Amino acid sequence: MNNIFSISRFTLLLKKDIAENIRLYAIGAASLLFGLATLMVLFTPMMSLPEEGGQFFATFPIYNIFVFGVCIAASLMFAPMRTKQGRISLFTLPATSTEKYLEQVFVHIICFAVMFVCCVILAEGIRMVVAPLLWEPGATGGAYAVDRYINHFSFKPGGVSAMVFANLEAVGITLNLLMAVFAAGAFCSVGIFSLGAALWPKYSFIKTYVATYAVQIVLGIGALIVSGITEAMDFDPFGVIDTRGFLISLAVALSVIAVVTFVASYITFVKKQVIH
Amino acid sequence: MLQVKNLTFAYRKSAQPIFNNFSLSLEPGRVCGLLGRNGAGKSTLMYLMTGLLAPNMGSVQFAGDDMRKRLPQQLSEIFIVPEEFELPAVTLRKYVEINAPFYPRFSQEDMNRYLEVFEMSNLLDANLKNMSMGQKKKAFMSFAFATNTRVLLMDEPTNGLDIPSKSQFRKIVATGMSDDKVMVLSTHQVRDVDSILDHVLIIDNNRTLLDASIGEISQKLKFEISNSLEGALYYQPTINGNFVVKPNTDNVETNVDIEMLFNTVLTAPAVIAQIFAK
Repeated sequence: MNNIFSISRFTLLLKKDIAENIRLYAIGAASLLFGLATLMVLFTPMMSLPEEGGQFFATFPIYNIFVFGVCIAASLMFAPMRTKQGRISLFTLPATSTEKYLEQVFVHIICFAVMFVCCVILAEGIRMVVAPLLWEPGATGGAYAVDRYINHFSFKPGGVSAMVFANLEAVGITLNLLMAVFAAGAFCSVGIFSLGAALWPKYSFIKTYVATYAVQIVLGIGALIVSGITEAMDFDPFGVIDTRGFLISLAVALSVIAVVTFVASYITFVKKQVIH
Repeated sequence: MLQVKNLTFAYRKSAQPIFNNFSLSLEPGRVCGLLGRNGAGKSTLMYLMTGLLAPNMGSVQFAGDDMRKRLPQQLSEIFIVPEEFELPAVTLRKYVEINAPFYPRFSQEDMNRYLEVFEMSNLLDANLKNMSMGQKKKAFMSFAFATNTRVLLMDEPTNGLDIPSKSQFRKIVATGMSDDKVMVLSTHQVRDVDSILDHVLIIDNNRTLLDASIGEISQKLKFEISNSLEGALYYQPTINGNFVVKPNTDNVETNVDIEMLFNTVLTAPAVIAQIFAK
């Protein structure tokens, strides 16, 4: 028997998960679709703003909702571990810890991302039908058509973002770089919330959020102290590292934190016992 | 088959260990009663045996592998029915459909037979969420027996069962047992299971006070109503006289009363150890 990873067992885990939670996932998807459709309908007037700027301001909240949503989904990764009985069922199920972990990552992160994109497309369809009923004809301003949506976040020159970030590009900060920072930030957030889920299966999102906030406060205080010291020493760190260099370092640091937190969440899950 | 070797375990490092250098071996072909006072560590031992807890020292090994690894090969041969358990909100049929493939020796035929014995056959399409506690327990136990795992651990299996279900349970244990399996029943309701046990394991204060087959117990101890308390290790007054447990010096075979045995072992552990010393 393969005691490392078996696709057939992974598929069985997936089938079991879907069969047991289908209602929960359906309600989650419906709520997300309803929320996105409502938001996109309300943002419709922004679509008639000068096209690029309007779409940017209408699109940015969608990115934030995605990050927020995927963090909530990640924090629910180990929901079965909330109770002793749930832990017994999960740990004694004949599959490897790797299979169980990856199945949770697949459902809560990858499937969520795919479901989110599908919901955005459907919500856009709803907006195109509903918006003309609420706003003046022509106010829909143009669709969040998927290709334009992708273009918006793509690295193609001359697109929406090229205009918005034109001044940044002049100082060497490309759209690609900013997108890399955004992507690394989202990846890092998901990693942190997956670690929080493994550490605190109960009220995971709130506990992780509070812990992350506390760490941010500590880091902020640390940054203030360091800036005070560098100022007293008449040393300007941005003289050594420019904004571009800073953003590259930030993207790398966030990616490293993301990988470390995912590995830590896996190890925490594997070492978890029925009673603590 | 399943070996506990020099196991030391405490829930917190600073706390008194529940087990300290504890060893035990479970051999196939036994229906073993695991008995002990409240807090003796019966459930903890079961969790350690299934890899749900990690020992501080020592190991629990099944087929040569450490249970702490929770390998599918081991987990597909060990099933635990905890005292309290959760079942998903799906029909019993669906539950079997999604869980049975994890157990290579699962038998649908056995499942149907056990459900029939428990008079649950008509509930295959009922949602587990809507079942009573007793019905859930019978459904879960039917599934546990039908997995045909080599080790089956049950914590308080008769709790929540009505009187007919308790005798149905005994019938299932008797028919579901085979030479390559071991069943461990941890219970305080010894009267519910005393007729099906063929081995008794009594633990207390981090020690195995008794690990013997019913045959050996009946050979070495005598359980009888008597007015004489001479040589009695333990006695309990009844309306017919005193129910006495004595060393079986005259080789008379009597029926083992598990409750009396348990009280005897806890009252006179040193004498019992001496009597059962190999």
